[in-house]
Amino acid sequence: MDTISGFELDILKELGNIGAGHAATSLSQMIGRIIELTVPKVNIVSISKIHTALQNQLNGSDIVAGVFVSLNDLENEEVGYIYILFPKNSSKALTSLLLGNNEESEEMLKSALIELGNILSSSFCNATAELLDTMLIPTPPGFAVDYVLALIESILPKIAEKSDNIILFEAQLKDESNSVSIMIMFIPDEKIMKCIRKLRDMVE
Amino acid sequence: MHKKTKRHGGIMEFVVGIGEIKVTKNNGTLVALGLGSCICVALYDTKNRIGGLAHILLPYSSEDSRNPKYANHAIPTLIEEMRKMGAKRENIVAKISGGAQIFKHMTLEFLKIGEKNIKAVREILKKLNIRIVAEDVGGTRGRNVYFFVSNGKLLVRYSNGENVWI
Repeated sequence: MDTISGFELDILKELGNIGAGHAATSLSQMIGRIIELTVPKVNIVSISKIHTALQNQLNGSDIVAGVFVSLNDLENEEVGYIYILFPKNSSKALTSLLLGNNEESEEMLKSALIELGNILSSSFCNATAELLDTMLIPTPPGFAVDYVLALIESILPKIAEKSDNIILFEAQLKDESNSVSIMIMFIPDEKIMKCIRKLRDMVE
Repeated sequence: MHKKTKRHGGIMEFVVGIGEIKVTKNNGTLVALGLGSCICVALYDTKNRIGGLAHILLPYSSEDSRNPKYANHAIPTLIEEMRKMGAKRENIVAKISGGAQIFKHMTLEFLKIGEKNIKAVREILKKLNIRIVAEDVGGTRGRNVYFFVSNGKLLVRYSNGENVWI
């Protein structure tokens, strides 16, 4: 795959921002309170460097919760993946953010995080549809809690076949009293990158 | 990746990153962190106390390039490296760990890569005539693996805090 140019990075950032905006709106509607989701930082990381990139944020042996969604096109082919990591030590803040109470129930939190994965991936798909004029359908999310490296590695073989780059969004999920940093990884394959390049060609 | 080495009470600890192999002699600890579907193969020359660890990502590669990401390249390369250090082929035994399926409820075929890794590693070791003396494979939890070359023991630390010695 070609390296990602400045323009492409801009589009990807924009995708992240639009997606996050949509997601925050849907989330606020669902919960009935205002939730903000901002994406202050976007990085492009090559797959072989993903460990180092994550280690700025997390320790390799940290336990995290991960939600994994694959994005399919109309022919039901996988064209990209979204992967969201929640640091385990944020489970209290996430509970109060998403469930509005302080009773920590692992089962409820898990289901809330999966729903968040659903919302985020659908919002991302909508943003892609708007911006790139292509239709993407998210699959039902997979969920696991484990070492951060183990989670990454379990999807790495598949990703490595299709793409060299991971777009890493460092996002903040917050309401008036809590703030949680989450990592959203977007892994587009060649098909999505092609759409982005098409857009670039139209602009230039 | 992890190239850091640390000293713990005079014993060197080497972190073996994904797709890497490392060999050491007499003492020292070889560590593979965050094994999910990846599998690690620890080879040990019991007489000369030479240990090697491979952190394998995928089962087979058809390419000729000797990329230790793949089991069929990693294991022969590891044996070769150990022989360079003075290990004897007939003394070498193997312990394997890893190959979990972290995402439980996914139907996607590729997430079963752990099983394929286990199968491939067993096949390759059998072909090379290396006996597997202990294993801790499969399951749904991630592992950190510590291979103590001084005595050939392997500590498997699960992500839920459980420890297993093999």
